[in-house]
Amino acid sequence: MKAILGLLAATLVAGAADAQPIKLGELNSYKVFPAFLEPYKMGMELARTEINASGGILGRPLEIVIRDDGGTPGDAVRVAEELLTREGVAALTGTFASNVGLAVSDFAKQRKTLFIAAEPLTDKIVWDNGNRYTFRLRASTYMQTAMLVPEALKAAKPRWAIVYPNYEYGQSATEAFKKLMAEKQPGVQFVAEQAPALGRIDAGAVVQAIEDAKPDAIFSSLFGPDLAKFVREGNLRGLFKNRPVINLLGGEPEYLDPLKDETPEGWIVTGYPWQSIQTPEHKRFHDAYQAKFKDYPRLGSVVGYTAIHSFAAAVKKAGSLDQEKMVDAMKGLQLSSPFGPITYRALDHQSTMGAYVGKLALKDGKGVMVDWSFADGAKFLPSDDAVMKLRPKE
Amino acid sequence: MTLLAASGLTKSYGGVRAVDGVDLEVASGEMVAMIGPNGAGKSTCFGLIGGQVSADAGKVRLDGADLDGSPARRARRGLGRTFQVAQVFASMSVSENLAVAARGRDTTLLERVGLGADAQRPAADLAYGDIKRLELALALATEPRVLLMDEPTAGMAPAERRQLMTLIAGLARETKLAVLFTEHDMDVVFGHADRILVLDRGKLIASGDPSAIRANARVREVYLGHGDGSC
Amino acid sequence: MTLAAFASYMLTGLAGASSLFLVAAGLSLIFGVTRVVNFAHGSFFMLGLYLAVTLAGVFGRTPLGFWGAVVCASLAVGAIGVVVERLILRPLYAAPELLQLLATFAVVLIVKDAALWIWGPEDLLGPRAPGLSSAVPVLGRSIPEYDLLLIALGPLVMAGLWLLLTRTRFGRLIRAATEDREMTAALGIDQARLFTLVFALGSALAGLGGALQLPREPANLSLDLSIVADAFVVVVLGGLGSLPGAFLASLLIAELKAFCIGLGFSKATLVIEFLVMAVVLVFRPHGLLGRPDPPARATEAEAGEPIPPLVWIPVALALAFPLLAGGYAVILAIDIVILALFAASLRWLIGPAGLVSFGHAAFFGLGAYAAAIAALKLGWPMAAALAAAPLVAAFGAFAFGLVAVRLSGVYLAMLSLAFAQIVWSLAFQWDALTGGSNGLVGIWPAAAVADKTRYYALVLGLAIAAWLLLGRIERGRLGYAIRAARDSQLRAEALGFDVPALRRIALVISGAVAGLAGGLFVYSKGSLSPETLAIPRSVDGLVMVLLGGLASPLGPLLGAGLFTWLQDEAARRIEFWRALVGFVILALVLFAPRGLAGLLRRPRA
Repeated sequence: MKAILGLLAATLVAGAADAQPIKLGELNSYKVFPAFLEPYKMGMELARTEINASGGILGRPLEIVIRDDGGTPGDAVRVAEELLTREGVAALTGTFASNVGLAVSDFAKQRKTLFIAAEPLTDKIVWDNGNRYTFRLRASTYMQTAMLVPEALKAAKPRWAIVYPNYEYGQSATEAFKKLMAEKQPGVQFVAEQAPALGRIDAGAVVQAIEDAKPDAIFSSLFGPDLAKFVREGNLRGLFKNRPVINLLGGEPEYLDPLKDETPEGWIVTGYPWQSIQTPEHKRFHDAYQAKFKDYPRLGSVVGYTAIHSFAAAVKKAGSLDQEKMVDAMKGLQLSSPFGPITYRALDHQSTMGAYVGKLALKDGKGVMVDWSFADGAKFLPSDDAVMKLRPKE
Repeated sequence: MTLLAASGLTKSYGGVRAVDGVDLEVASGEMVAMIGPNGAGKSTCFGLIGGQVSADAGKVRLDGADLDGSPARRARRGLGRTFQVAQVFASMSVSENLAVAARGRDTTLLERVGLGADAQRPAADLAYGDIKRLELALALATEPRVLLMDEPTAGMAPAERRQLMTLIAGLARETKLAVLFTEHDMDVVFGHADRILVLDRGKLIASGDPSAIRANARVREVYLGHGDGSC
Repeated sequence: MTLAAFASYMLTGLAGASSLFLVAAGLSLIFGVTRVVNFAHGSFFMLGLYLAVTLAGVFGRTPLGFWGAVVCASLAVGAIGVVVERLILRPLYAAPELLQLLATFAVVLIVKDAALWIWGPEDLLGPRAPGLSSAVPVLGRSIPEYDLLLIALGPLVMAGLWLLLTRTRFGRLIRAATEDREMTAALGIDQARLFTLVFALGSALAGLGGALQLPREPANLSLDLSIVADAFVVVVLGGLGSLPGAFLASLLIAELKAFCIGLGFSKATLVIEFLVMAVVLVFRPHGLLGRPDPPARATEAEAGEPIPPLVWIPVALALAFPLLAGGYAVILAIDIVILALFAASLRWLIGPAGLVSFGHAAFFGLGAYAAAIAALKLGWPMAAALAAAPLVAAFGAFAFGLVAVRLSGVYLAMLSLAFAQIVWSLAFQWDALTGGSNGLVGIWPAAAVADKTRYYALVLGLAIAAWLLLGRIERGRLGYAIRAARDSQLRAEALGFDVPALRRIALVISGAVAGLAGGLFVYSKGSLSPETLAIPRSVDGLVMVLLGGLASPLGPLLGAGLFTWLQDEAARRIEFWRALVGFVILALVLFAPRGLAGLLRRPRA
């Protein structure tokens, strides 16, 4: 009996030492934005499998503890607390909406814990409200807007109408667009601005109002149901006839796929043409994803996948789970993503992950991106001086 | 001495004159009954005096001064009343009801209205006659100078009715209380009222002591019909 | 604006009005007859749209396929309505009215997760209507043919309902029940059957409203709550139970929105319907065409045996436990106690004062924003910022009370919702002060209470102080006067009580306590954004109060504890946690209609 107990104890101890996983805390608004975050979750799972198949991190397996943050900053902060205190996670990743991302970012600063904000697009998370512990993966609102500005300049249209969802993302996109356009195309006019409440666009009236302003071109940052309603009403009422339209995020499969045969051809968008990216790093990712889930990747898949690999790379570089060492490792961290190599800039903790800029087209009753090119995020950021002025001193 | 005086009270609902130029007076210590067939305007008349109904025209005076404003304001000037459908505080016990109404005044009203034994019972559990009694106690707890009672004895047995009305008549004399009441039971009316006002289709058609009312031909015609005072 | 432009906005507005009216008409019918405040009405709308998308795919792109899908979806939703009414609402008609609201809220949670499970997370855009798939020129503008159809359909449905209500026996019964529920029961009419039929009709109308959006918007999972808020505004603005009123209100709101957009004030659409409702209710306390007889009382009088003192011992132990245990227990306990304090302030308003609020988050949020702005913008120390929270919230409650005390029942509840939405839109738009949609960050407690256990001790201490104060007031002369005003306004006034003043006082006390909870909340989270005072928080508050039970001051604590703990645990453990929370709420509503606190007390002999 004693022998058995002894053996059991030995096994337990040995097992614990062997397999003690490194826990990563991931919190996100899975129930509020499922269209983006379901694929995101699968992307994370793929990354985790890959990491553990290749021996884990520092010889330990990776475990991702996933929590729903309910889509509100208040609940998100509680969930983050739970991940730290009860689960003892090494770092935090995730969040979707900007207000939640900012709340968790400030919490991470307070608790001196590494936080990789995977998806929130708000410029503030790395600039105005940036802090030592927060890093952001996605190309920000500013960056993606800047990627589209060269296309807008090519259109050479003097009169623009703007439509955006009335909250920080849409406001920032509009502000950045107007500023960059005014700099590079003096005399440009913005003849109409429509700011419907998020998820509640009155598409008929908005289309009518834009038509009334007689713009030469349209810049939109709508997405989700608002985008679908706007596209259908605009198509019906002929708003897009002979008018270039630029739509931030419009080529992301999450928002493009629901449009099906309503897809507005010729729109210039940022997005993810998963069908036609032939780089080796993307092909490998795409095939592995397809094989594992019998489904094609969405943009969320890429973001989730890359966020997890970012964390793993940071720990490997730091050689430790010490927060300060991980943060120092994140600064200037380089890794390969399905979109090519990325760097987390030491300057402002923004990754240089880019986006694809291209045109929408219809193929077999589905929307696709064509004539696309890859825009490297590093090339669409303001000068270092300008960034330093925005970011609070540490 | 006249305590409550109303003049020219008028109220229309959608073109129908529910109360039409009613004048009335009640002296202190006097018990006045207001009678009339259903829909004659008695309750509206009470509402106009109590402030629950806003008047189209007319004036109410208490002790020579205008009585106007919200029901609460009139109540604070010394007007107490009960309602046709008794209003008490259903979520409270009988004694809590009285405590709210009396606002710290000492009172033996529960015993006097015959609810002494029910003090701890929830008001919602009382029989209807007892609820009427409780409401009367509440109205009296504010020590009013004028008391309006809308069918005070509804839901009571004949013996109880006499008892209650005797109590009120006693209080009226004792505290110089002016009482105006409506009542369906003609025994109660003719047995306890010092004076009777007869209302028909919003108009006051007769006023006088019980014997005069009994003898009034117009009253017999529009209200009593066959002339039998006991309904 | 040219005449042509004017006409085209007018037509767009009319199409929107028809859509709005279809949803609102069903809600109005259901409320009028059954007095059920049906939160799930938006969910029925959402189901109608999802079903129509699926059926249209199955039936094919022909006119018959399209209209077949619309009709079948509507009928199917009507059938779902029957199931909900039979299984969930029927056992609750005798219960306090707000409990039915809680039950329908549980249905919302379940339907949302069921839709996610069945249709997946992706938005589903339906086909254009065959035969009506393009636009026609009207005065030189393009107007979609389908819009013209909707414009015709709204009045047609209105006319159909009017015929049904005036020319059929069923309709006469509906009208009779709307006007006097007790009377129809007394006349020996089979009420149960009438209620089921009305619920089926109302749900089918919601389903039809959803299905008709097939070519106009994609089916998505956030439709339910956005639609139900709109529908409630229309029903209340028009006057409860009045179909012509709902029609008029739909027109008013849809046209106002269209012209806001047309005149370049698109940001106003954030709050315009609530502004309009607030203004109308202030001047017409029963809506545009509502009749001044108030709906049946929103709360039942509560009486009975007090909770046995022994119950307080485990409660006290549970509250003290996190102080010793530390770790996550403290963090969860901070949330629970803060929300319990918020719920207690709402219970005080709904229970003793009898004033139902659908917008109580306004006061919580005012307190939270006051503390955050005092700390960040004015640099006040924590103690001063925390003190500002209840004061500012109380001031907000006073301001609300100035316009609100004339109203009662659902009208008052909806005015409070409008107030909350107006405050919310201010917080959302006033970037310079409130940080706009992102909110404010960096509001952390002073060093002395930075430790979570110490912060919990502070929260608990203040909460207990507030609970004791509320309890004292409730049992004191003021509390009895406030209760008296609730039990019988007529009686209270006839005794000389200034009922509006009492209600204002009750509101101010409640607002102050909610504001304190908001202040404590912001310091526990370090940040806040407009969701702090958005509709879901008001709804959560109601759910906690009703789960806990109105009867006892212990109710809010039990309700907040159960609801928060359940969400926290369920969200961690299972994917479809919202549905689980919904089922638990349903079980409690059906088996413990007097709330958790009600389970602890013996019923009156």
